[in-house]
Amino acid sequence: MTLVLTEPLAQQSPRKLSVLNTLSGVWLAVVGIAALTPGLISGVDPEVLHPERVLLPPGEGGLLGTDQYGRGVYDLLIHGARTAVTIGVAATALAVLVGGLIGLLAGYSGGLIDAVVGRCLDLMLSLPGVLLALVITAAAGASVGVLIISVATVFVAGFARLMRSQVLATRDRLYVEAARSVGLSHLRILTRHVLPNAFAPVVVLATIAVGEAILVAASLSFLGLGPKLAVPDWGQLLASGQPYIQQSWWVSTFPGIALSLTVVAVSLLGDRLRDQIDG
Amino acid sequence: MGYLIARRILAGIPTLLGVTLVVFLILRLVPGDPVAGLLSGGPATPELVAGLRAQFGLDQPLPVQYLSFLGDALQGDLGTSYATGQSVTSMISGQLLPTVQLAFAAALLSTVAGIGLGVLAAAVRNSFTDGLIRVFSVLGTAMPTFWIGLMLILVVSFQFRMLPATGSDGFQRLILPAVALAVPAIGVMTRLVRANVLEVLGENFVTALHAKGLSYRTILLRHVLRNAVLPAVTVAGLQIGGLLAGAVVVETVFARQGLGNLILQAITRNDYPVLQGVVIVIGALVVLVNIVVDLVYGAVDPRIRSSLAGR
Repeated sequence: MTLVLTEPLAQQSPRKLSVLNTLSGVWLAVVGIAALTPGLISGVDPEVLHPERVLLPPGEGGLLGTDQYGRGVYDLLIHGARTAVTIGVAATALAVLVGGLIGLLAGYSGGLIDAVVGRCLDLMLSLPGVLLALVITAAAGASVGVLIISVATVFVAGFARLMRSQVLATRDRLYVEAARSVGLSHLRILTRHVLPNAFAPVVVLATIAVGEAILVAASLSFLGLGPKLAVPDWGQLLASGQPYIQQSWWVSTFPGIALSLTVVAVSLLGDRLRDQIDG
Repeated sequence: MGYLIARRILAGIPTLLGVTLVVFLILRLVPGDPVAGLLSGGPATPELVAGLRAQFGLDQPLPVQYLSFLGDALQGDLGTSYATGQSVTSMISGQLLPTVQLAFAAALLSTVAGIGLGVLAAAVRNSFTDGLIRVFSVLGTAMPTFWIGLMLILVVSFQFRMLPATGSDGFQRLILPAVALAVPAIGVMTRLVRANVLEVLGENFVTALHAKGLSYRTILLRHVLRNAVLPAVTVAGLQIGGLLAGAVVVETVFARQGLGNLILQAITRNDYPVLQGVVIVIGALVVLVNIVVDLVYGAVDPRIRSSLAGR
């Protein structure tokens, strides 16, 4: 999956923009609440099966219908949000941390280290990240921890490259030279003078990466490499509805909508952050 | 140009080596023993495990394993499947074509549709149509391809009974998977082309053409398009890697033959040589496509040619 930074979606009239932003904010809030305290918006325990309510359409079977075990799709979505959010956020955080550190060290030290790291990053970027994640998950066995790591590997090189370019841009600035000439340690120069400049673009990319990470994790889940939990995550729920899709379209349709809306909302948030930072 | 081609191909070799090394290392260093996985069905005596390890060469030190793998791979031998005993090379070559067809169909579709939509959006910028196209392009990049595939099956195949839902033979069965795979790429391409066209529209030569009295339409189609679309074509080439990987996922939705099918089978059977072979072949394809894209771009745009030669 490639992260593409093009121009922001909405440079339209401010009013349309704010409606869109409000809507995506509300959606993210709902997803956030579902991830933190699912019980608050869904009182039903999704681990309880109801054989007498199997594959009921929306309306008859609650807001979004029921799945092949009689569980409400709405309740499953609410309770499955935690897995999506956890993996999306944790994988991104890990990628920022590892990638950022690599980029920082490579950019700041320069020379041979930088050249070698640069080649490795090009290599990582030329491999389709989803495949790497797939191989790691397949080899190590699917669990939330493994998924976080394997999804993070997709994004590490991107963050390393961004951080490296940011460091290169500030490394030879006069104030860094001044800091060096008064005898500050490398660590202090890095944390106090180089890092703050790289902060904004990294945050913007990280926001977008959370959405992408949720998608990558969902793809792996869809392929059967998701964590084996009592409550399916969105990708698993989507996959589990596939055999019944002709008669019971709702089981697969709603998780896809939830996924798409979450990714859109996150990327709009990223656009907005960038506007604020640039503006 | 001949020099450039040779240079670019030579530069691809370390990348290719790197790809094999990365995949090899991941499968060896990640916890999880392929032999233990293979024997999970029956009684695994230590002798049996040791025998299998020796048979697959897993008892050798890592560098030896890697070098012998590499030596074989150079001769076109990617090893033997743990599960079926077949040659991995022949297993892959049997499934390669459908996947490559799907990825290229999606690449073509996303390039044509992306350029069309992007130019249209830029030409009528800030209109309702522009807004619609932009919403589509954002939604497109956010929707999971496997879900798009399922929705296409639901609507096109089941509701309107227009195209077959599953299978891999013939052009008809290529359409839906290619569309599903292309949608996110169309979104990316549309945004890129729109931004490029708008940028070129703001350049001085466009103002000069206006002053000469050319119509907006002529300027857009004759002069702006060429400048704006060229970089987009490069991106299209670079997207093929992602599309090849994405094809693996989309294939499973449509029950298509291909590498996706093969890789999933390999995962459920703990068939490491096949898994490794598929990923390396896809990686090699990506490297190859990138080289071709670079060269084509260089052939079309002299500015790039000189910068490539200087590298």
